[in-house]
Amino acid sequence: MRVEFNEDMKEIFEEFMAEADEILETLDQELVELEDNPEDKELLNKIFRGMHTLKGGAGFLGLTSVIDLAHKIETIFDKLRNDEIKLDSNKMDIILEGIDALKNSIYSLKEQNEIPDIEEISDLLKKLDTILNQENPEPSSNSTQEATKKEAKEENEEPKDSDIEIIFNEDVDPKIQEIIKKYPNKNFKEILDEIILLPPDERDMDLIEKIDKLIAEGKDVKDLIKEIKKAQPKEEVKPQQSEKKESQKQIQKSSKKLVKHNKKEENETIRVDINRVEVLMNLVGELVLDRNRIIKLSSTVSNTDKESEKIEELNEAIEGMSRSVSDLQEAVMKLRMQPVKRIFSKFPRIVRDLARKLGKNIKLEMEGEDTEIDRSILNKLEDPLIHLVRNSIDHGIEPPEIRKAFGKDPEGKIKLSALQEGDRIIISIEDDGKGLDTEIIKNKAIQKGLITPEQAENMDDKDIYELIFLPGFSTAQKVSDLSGRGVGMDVVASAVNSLRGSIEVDSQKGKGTKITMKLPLTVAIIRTLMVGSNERVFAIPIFSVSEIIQYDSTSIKDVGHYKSLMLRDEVFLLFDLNELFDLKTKEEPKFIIIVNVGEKNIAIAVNELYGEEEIVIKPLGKLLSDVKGIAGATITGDGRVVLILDINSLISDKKSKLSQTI
Amino acid sequence: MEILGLKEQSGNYTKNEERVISFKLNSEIIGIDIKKIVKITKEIDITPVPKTKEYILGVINLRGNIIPVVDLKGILNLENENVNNENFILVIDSEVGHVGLVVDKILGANTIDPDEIQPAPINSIGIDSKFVTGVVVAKDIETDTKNLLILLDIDKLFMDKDEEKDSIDQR
Repeated sequence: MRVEFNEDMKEIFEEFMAEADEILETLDQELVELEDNPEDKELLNKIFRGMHTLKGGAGFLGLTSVIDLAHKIETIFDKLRNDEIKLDSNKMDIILEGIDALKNSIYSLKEQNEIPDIEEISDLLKKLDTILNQENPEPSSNSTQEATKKEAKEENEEPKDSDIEIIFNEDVDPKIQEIIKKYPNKNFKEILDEIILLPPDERDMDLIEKIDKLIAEGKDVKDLIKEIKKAQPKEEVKPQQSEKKESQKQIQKSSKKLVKHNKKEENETIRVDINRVEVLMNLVGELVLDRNRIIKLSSTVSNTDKESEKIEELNEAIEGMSRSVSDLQEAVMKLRMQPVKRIFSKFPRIVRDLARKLGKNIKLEMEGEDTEIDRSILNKLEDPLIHLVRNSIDHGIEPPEIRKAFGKDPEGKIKLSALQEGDRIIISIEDDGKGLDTEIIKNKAIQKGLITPEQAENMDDKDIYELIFLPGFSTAQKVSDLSGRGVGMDVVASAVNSLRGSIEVDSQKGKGTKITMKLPLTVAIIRTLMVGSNERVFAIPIFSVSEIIQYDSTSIKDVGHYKSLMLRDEVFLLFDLNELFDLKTKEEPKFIIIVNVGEKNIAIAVNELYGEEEIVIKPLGKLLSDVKGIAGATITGDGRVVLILDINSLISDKKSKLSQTI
Repeated sequence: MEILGLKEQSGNYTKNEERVISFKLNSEIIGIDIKKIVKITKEIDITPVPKTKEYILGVINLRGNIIPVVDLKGILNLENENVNNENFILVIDSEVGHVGLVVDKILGANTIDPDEIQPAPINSIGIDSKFVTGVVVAKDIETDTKNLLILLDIDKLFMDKDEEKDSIDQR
């Protein structure tokens, strides 16, 4: 069914989509958590509310199949939270199927403005109905019961103000005291709303002003209240024990509610279109570059004209501005940061489904979910992470019988963790499965022609592990439909590299495998080393530069197809930058830069060094998006375009070309 | 009347009109829909990008944005017969974002009647007909000569990745 909205509805539609995304995003994790604690009322309530919100929004927009699905699931959760039915994994499968259908509907709505027709989901709706009917022989009586329960609940939540006595701080205006008593459990903003809604002659403008002033001072109801007391002293209500308990409960509830309100206000958020943040980010980027340019200029001016007082003043002003710009840069950067929770929350479901499918017993542990990382990095990280986790489940963790035979806990463990280390985010996936077998990897690589048997001889474990990141490598004996179609690890590696990150494997046969990714905190601004070659200027990201030395032809040897550099006791592969770009070298290079590529260091010879510069990365555009070896470009202070090198892809491209010619 | 700093070449105003920017490629006169044109500039400093196809000349800085620049003759498989080498860059808005096209000489803005567009004569103009929307006879008021204006289909020339393989990469 195609859905179309006019301009007015479009806004509502977009609001709905954002809300739906939010609800669905956390849903999977909640559902899996729920399977472990099927009685968790808070979780049940949360899912119920989410479905309810979804249904409401869909209802307003007339999205019939979404309404039906959300309604069915909502009803199921209503019964679950009222203990009318019990959750088991079969029911869970059906519920998950329903949720998936709901997700797909929302997804296709977003992408193609289409939702499934009612006929398409009718089978699923019937399936969901079976849950409702199973342990529910008398649906009619149940629903009335439900209704009364609901009503009772609502009544509970609305405590009578006569039961409560509020003791105010001493300096509180009596008028304000009165109004707070009149509207208990409301904060000032809500009270203000109430007053404004009154007919004009009952509206107390004086009071509005007073409350306004208090709000402006950052005060709320709770700041004026010393204590909330039950109206009647305990001793007097002895005969009405039950009632007393009830009202006590109510007071607790009401004070809880107050606390809740306050919390909500502290975390007040607004939704902002990501494009606006992007624009802001770009502007700040330009500002940073301008600042750097001004600082450079002022230092040259200061050198030529030391006497002038004005120069000193100028320098002070620049210093102040410089600080503000740095703060601004950081603040804007933070706008784009999101907790990794956003993608981590998908994994409980993925692990559960896959483990069930493969008959494995797997426990997922997650750590550091609140670690924040740039949104665009996070988005690009999702697929590689899913792939790695699938790999662990599929190839890493053994079936329970085999684990038992090896004396391991039949339940396998996968640990997903994130942490910040300096300006890098480290995300790792660790399993306690069978580990990587270096012999199998070696043989496979030789068989696939990725390495020669002689090369294999000289490789240490780390080198061997790195082979799994080569294109066209897959250790799985048979191709399963979960992971391992011969593509995979190389795609993961290139995704991480394209984010200017690195990936490492550590493994112990029989004990498990740990894959660690190190990623930059942010993508937009990086420090680079400007180098020159054949009169062209290129930027190398500083984080991959480990050392710079003078070019000395005596320490360079030709070894077959490669050149190598002897430095201290180490041997590095050496390439001329021109050679990497298939350009002719005009003159002998003057410098050698040692760069980090994955876990190895490689030497690159260049003609010129221009020093360090902070730059803003700009994309080359779609037309040039698949150019190898270039991560993007930047515009320098004088308006020139400088290309940023992607050392990883540059080297791997060169290597694959060399191996072809061998 | 001047549009984008260029002189208007046809005064006839009909409701059913389209405007194109016309320019020279060797001896051919080519037109591109004016709605696709973002900016016309004299050839500025192009930073070459290594490891790209030959027709990609590099990137330029256009108001703080990086724009790839292609040699239009190269992409259309035409020889370069222009000797004076004073080129212009025509920045267009395509499906793959803004792209700069290097052309020989900008002639001006023409108003054409879509009803007069005729299908391109196959193989007679040296440009693959799948990149051509059609041809139209344009009158140059100053010299009072009639010229064949070839209308280029920018969307076919610069398609998004997947489809692009069928057009550009094939050759």
